[in-house]
Amino acid sequence: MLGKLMKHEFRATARLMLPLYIVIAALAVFTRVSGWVLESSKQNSGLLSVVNGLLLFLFVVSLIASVIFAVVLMVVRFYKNLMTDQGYLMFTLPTDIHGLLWSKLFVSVIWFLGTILVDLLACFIVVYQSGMALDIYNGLRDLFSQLTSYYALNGAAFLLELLLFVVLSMLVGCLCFYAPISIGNSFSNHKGLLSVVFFFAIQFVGKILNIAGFFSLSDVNLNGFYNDASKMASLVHGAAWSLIVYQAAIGAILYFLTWLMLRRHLNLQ
Amino acid sequence: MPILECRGLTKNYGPVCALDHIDLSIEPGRIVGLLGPNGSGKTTLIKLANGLLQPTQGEILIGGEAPAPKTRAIVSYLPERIALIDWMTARQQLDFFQDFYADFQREAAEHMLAQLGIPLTQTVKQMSKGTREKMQLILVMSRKSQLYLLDEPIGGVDPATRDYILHTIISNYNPEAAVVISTHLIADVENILDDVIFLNRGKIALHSSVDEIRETRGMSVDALFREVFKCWEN
Repeated sequence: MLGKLMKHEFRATARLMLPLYIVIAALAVFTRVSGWVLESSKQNSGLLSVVNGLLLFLFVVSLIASVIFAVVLMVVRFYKNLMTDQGYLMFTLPTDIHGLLWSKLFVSVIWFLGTILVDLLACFIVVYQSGMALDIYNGLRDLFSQLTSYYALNGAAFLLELLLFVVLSMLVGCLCFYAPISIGNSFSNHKGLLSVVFFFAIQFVGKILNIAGFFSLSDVNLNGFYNDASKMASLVHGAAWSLIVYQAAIGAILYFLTWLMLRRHLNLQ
Repeated sequence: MPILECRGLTKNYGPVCALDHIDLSIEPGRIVGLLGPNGSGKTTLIKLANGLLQPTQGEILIGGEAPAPKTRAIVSYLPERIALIDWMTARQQLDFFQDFYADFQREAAEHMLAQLGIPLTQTVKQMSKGTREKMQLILVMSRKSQLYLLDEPIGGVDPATRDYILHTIISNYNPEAAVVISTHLIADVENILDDVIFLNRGKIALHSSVDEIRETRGMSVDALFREVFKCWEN
């Protein structure tokens, strides 16, 4: 059932995200072509410079807009699909609330990752120079070999930890919106206003926890770690896993709050 | 075994009691009118049966089980609001129902849409309010469910659409299933009902068969409704 829910979630979001990706790719190509034309033109053309500058500006705006749009779409999809009249359809499907939530979470994270990838590829198109791909590959390979040899870090493990942390952060980012919307909409009146209030309340609690965590770590003595590569490696991996566990715990709390509100206090108008 | 059963079912919205210790049993094969004035608790009862609300006290059972994904697979629900997804075409709506409901009969749905002249390529956004209501009803009645819960299916539509809706219900429902129709427009549905339940301020004022009302009281359901829910004394 999760697969079917995800399929329909993709169908609903792809109709908006894919055209956006096409626009970004097209702007990247136009920016690149106008740059070539400008470079190859013998005479210094003022008009070409303006067009190139304008395209570059639009390209940068489209990169920023794509990230904002992916976040807004994630919020709007959750609200419109579950909290408005469409909720009558979604909550009476032969599936449970976990299925509804996970389908939205997974698809949102996939679009976030997709947007980052498309933006990076678009930047690559704009700034590509001959041999650049090889340079990037060699640079990354050197980075990992140095991490492994000098700091005794397992480069692949570190990359996996980083990826896991990024994905978890994205999930928590979604739940930071889902939880307050669910709580706000469980009230009979002022649903929108209360959703905003709970959003900021959750953000405030989150910041307090972050600051408390930061201060509790400030007393840790790191002197013995700097000169010992194996100790340094275990410190880095330990820190990475601490952050992962912390994010997972925050995510679990927000997920439970969202689930509880939708399960016990759903209040469709 | 009853397909829908309520045992001491109570639902409060804060200090307001919407349903007050309801005991009720509906058997398969019956068309039941859930009748009562606005605010009597009809929609609350139907929402509870769909798991959209949780009881404050007591329980509601569908085929012996509390509302859950399993019971939703055998219940076909028509909400009082349009719950269609506005960017979808009629065809995509059919795909959606076909994907999620094993008992969905696509051919029957396509046939009814063709009868009404609704193109499969038309989006919900492009449809008129009346067409959306018909579309939603077609989707709901194209399922071979064990229980149909129809919340105000004829409220707010013109008489011709009302006739179409009632015709669609009686000509498409699964005869082995129970149909619960919530409405306050008694005269329009009276002829298709087997049983009636009068709800008044969250309590059952009457649960009887239509034949019994006619035989023992010598009046129509509509006349009895007007008598029970009379707003003032002459």
